Amino acid sequence: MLKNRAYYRSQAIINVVMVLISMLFVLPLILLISSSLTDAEALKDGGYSLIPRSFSLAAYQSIFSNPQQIIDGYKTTIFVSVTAALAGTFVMCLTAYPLSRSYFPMKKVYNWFIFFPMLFSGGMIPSYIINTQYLNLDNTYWIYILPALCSTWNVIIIKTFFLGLPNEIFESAKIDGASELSIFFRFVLPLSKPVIATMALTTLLGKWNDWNTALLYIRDTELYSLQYLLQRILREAEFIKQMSYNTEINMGMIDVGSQQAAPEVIRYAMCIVAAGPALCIFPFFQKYFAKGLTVGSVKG
Amino acid sequence: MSSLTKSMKQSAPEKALRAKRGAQRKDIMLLTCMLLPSFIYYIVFHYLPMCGIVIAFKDYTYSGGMFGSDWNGFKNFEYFFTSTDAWVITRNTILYNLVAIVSTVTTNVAIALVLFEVSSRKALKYYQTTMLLPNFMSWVVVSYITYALFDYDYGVINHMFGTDINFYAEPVYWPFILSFVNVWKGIGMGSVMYYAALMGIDTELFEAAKIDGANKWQQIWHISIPSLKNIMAVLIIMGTGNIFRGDFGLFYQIPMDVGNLYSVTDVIDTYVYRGLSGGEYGSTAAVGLFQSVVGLFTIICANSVVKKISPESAMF
Amino acid sequence: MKKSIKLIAAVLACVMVLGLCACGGSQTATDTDGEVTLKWLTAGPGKQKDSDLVWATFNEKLAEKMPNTQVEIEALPFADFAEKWRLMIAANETIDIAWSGYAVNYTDEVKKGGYLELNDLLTQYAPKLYKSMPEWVWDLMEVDGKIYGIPCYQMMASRPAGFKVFKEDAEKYMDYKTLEEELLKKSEAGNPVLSEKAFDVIENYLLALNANGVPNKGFAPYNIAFIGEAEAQSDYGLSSPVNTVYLEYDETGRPIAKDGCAPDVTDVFYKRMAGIYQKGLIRKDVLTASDIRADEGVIGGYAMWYHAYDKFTEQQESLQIGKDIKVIHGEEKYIRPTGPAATNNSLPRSCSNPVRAMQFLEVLNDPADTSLYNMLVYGIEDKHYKKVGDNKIETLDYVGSPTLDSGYGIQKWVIGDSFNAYMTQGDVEGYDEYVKTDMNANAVAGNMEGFKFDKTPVKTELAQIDSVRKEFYGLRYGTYTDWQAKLKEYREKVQKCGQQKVIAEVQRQLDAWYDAQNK
Repeated sequence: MLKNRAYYRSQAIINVVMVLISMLFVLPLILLISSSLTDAEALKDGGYSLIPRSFSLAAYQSIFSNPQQIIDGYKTTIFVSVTAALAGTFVMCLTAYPLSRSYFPMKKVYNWFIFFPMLFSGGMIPSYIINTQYLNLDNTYWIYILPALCSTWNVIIIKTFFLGLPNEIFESAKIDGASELSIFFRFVLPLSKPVIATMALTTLLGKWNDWNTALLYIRDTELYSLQYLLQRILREAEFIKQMSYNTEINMGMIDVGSQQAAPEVIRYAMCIVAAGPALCIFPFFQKYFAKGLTVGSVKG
Repeated sequence: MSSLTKSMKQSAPEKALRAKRGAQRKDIMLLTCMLLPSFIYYIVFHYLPMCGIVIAFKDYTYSGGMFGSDWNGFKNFEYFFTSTDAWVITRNTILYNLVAIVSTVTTNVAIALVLFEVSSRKALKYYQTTMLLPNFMSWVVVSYITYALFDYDYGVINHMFGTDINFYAEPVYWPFILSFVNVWKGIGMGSVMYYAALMGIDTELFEAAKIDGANKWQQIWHISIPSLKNIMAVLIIMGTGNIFRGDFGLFYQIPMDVGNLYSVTDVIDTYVYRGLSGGEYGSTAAVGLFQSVVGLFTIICANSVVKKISPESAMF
Repeated sequence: MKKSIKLIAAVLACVMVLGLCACGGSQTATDTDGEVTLKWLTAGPGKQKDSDLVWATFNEKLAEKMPNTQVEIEALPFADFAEKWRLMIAANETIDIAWSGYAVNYTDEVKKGGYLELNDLLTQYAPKLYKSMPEWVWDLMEVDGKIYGIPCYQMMASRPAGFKVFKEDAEKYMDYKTLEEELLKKSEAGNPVLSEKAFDVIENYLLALNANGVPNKGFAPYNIAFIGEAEAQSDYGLSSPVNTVYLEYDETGRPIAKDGCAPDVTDVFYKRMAGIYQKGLIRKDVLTASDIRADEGVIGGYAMWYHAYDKFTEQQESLQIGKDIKVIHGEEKYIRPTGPAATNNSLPRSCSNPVRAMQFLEVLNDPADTSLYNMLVYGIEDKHYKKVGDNKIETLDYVGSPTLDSGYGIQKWVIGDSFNAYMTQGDVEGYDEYVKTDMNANAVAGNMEGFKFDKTPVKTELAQIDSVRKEFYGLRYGTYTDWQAKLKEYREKVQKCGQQKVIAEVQRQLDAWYDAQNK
């Protein structure tokens, strides 16, 4: 490539712009980290700053005082997220492929079939009944993975991408006598690495952040997801705030004792702990976003 | 031609046709089998539970359950439709969604295009990773950040710019704040997806264009953007399906449920949550059903509009 | 193509029918004398490190008293309780005993059929438990004449309320005698709003504190409704969920429902609060502060706060805070509430063995042997607490209220009769006695005792009014500069939500109740 001055100049502009934009994302993170490392009292009085006003590891000490729980949380979340990402993405690709073939007769019907549940849902109650009473998924790893295995939104995006693949591949493969399955595995998947990587990433992130499942379905503390451990603290604080509007409780007219909300520092520290390793995940995916994957290279 | 050669000639194409049809049937069987896992999935986890929609029309009690409780017609819909604020909340919901669709699609595409030009892999890794950071923050955590920014006494904005604005007391700022925060949160994943699509463009196209003398802007306009056209269309159409739904986390947590701001921050989902303290399954289901039906309607409309403009981009 | 549509339609139809049959299901109650494991859904901080250990030990001890009975406990955090409970009971999961306190709406859950009737079970299988609380406490739990919950006995009566201030500052800068007079006048007249004179005293005090450099965070914003809005004034049977109606009594004593949002009733309150906010005497972040009560009762915190008090308050809280406080109060009266008790246990409709469950509760709350109860509350001796006296212990992991990080601990008022609990280092000597024998015993019937408002005819209007109230919280804290315009807007909105319909319905139910009482 001709690396003339115009090239360097445009790269410089692009990088400056992107660095500025990335500040919008990095600064809040620094704010969170700094707040988590601040002494609780200082935080209450002085507010927020990018550098801790008075350094203190107390919040982290408190969280890791029960390390088993955090370790279990990581174990659960990692296992569940990775499995869901792999299995889910695979199933979604399997589904999207037939729908992208124009000669597939059930295409239209199945499109509607998967599309309808995206809009219409029966609500929590029937899902809960089915998941717990009939499938006995509650209190297992599978409750995290199975009910949200396939997302129609993602299937449609993958399908759209498959539709964009050049027709020559399929025609020449057919002439060579390849079956649909072999076309799928030998051509379609390799050419779609970027999209598949994106969908896997989306699924993984979605599962990583999921706390609602643990709230409703999990009883054993070893099976709590990391985000649920964080949300427990946040929800308790929110609950106490809501209860403060309930005048009878508030007035201590009826003595239900005191409930202390976890200090703010703990909440920030928990955010960092829950996000931790996932922050490093993108570089792992990046290798799938390789430019220059041409049709020619696959054909050869 | 003698009849012998004629018949010989006919059987060859006939055989080929039969073989072709056989292969086709086998292919269609294979394709259908590929759908099996998702078919079971949708039936078990989506269609079976759909029977719960009846709750919208029932006076739900535990003793009656979903099917034993009494029907009460459209009574559950009253809560929302007879409320004095029904119009304001609906208007808020629709406007926010329209703005969100436009703002997220344009920014995601723009960032993806810019990233596409970045040549240093390290820099690219850095940018994309940082933009993904909000994905790890739940809305409550984001609300802590916005609070740190907009708080009257200690907030960063008032500090840095010396302004004296009580953000949480003035509704006027919030449409911008909420729309911006929404874009901010989604730009990481959003741009990655368009970026992935850009990755799929045959580089030979770009080479050919460069040889023809096209500059960067022309390449973007004539190659990059058309290749994103279909994905953009699909995302816009699906976005309209949610036009009556508000992201609860965004509209409840970020404004910190401050009553002052309800006139601009209240959407259907937050309104329902506040008024129906969780136990009212019937009314909640009714509103949900209403949102779904309207969503279906808008998606079909959006789809036909897209069909007219660019038929191959339409969803159905 | 047509074939595949027909096929899919047929499959869907079968699936829907399957779903119909599947989602039904009912529970048959069995009354066996054999081995029974009771499932208890309780609240608290949630499952802790040593929970399993404590519960296993508990079951061992229980077997000594009740062979053939074991208890499987599931402890949910308060914040999660309501949501999980509703799903579990909707799915008809077997739960034998469930906490039914303030996190769930007791009356609503009863109306939906969530709990079993307990009257006969109580008298037959838990007579001691039944006698342990006065009848008016049991009346609290009645819905349509039947009892559906067992209160966890503790302080039941509502205490009077007053302003709490730091003694030293008040004696220097406040005209507290006037304030006391005004408070007394207010409660005697049944006025919803504090007088201007009282507000003057408050303002002058806060201004004086600031002028003299006494660090403070101003006027405490919560509970403010009690000195200015109609909601809390209405003798409880009414108050929640009807927050905008208050009661007056005519010459014969008949209650009249009045519009709490009518002009002039509460104008003074909003005017003075706006003044207080503008003068900076109340925290500026009142609407967004995540924990408004964090500054209550701390040195350098709020200068004055309105709260309930009793004979022990000044002594107890001065000790806790580390600085002497003084209570400025109006009338001294303990009133029996009319709403359901704040913390109770019930037997859900999915209970598999109501008889055994009731027998268990009788054993658990037996004052003759409180060891089982205290084990569930405090844990195992020497591991979670140290015995320092006959009925006194010292908790090791926490002081006051247990948290998620404690080794083990569940609040005493969640498990059962809290008067059976050991005294801890956080409790003041003699307090429990006082509550049981003085407060609860001397509680008088409120004017509206026995009246329970059924909100079903106006529940939509009430939900909408509640929504509007939340929208205008700024009024009560005085955050609007244009409070008059906002006040007008608020009142109009409330009227539009059907306020008159609510008032009419309240009056109707009041009349029916009053006439039935005085036949």
